[in-house]
Amino acid sequence: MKELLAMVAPPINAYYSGYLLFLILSGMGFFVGIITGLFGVGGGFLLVPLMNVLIGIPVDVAAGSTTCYIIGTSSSGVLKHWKNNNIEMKAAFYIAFGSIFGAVSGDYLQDFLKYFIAGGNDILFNKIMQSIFVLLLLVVGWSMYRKTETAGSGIPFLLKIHFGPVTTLSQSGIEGISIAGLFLIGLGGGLLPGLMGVSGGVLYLPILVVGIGLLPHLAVGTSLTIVFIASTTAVIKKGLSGSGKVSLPVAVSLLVAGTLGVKVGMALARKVHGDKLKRYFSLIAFAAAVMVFIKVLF
Amino acid sequence: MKLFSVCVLVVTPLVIGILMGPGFDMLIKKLSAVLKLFTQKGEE
Repeated sequence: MKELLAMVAPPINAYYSGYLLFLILSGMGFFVGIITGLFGVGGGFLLVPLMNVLIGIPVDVAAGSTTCYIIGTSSSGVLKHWKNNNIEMKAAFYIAFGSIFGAVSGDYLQDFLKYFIAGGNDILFNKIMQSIFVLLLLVVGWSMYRKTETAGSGIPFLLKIHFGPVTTLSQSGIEGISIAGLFLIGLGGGLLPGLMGVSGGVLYLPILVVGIGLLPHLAVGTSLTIVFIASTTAVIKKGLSGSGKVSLPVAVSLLVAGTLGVKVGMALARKVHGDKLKRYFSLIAFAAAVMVFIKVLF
Repeated sequence: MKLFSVCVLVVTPLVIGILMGPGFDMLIKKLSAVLKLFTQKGEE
């Protein structure tokens, strides 16, 4: 029993403890839950820096516990979107399949790049990776903002790729989507947790909208499904490694209020027009970029 | 033990997510239906 407890609830050094820690985590969970419900992202890109900067939870424990929290919030979101036929199952499956490969190879790639780019220096390597993530968030935010300005123009880039077998997406009726292209998107998203300590969920929504041409509401449900499969795989992987990087009490504290936040977010998403949804998402991406940039500086 | 801890780490958030998500919605629906029934009986 003691061994199990040490595995699922490792001791963590934070600025706060007890009820106060539970309350702060619940507040964070509720806020990020709203964003999950609105945009179909896991919320790791916000939760990890928030927990690290405001509560002092180490980044690796924050990232592991957030992945566990995401299983809960995304599962309730997936069920709701599934009932409303808001999931493009084929796209979700191929991208999730790629992300599992990415998650497994991400750790090996991290070791290789750490010596190749930063000469084995952990701190320098993390700062380089976080700077790249800031750039990525800025590009994502800008592409979503720009798409709002030029909505309806141009062919989605995945439809321009004519490589290997193609598939048709039944919900949206989009034909000729490259399966290899979908797999590569997942592979790229799956590499991020290993390389940068953040979930790739934040990138899926814009890629599904801009790259495949899904309507924002369909993209939210599909993105959430990919995030659910990817986060479950990540927790299994972390659990099997026995590293003690996942704290169940932290995840549960975030989750109880987080699921209520998801409900609020989903109710808001139904009232907000698709273009506005994309514009709000771009603002969240810019805010996250600023937050991660502050973390890089200090 | 590792396998059991993995199960705990995956199943616990899944159960909470489902209970607090669709389960919570169902509970609210049932409660409002019971409440409606009681108020109707009260009026009769």
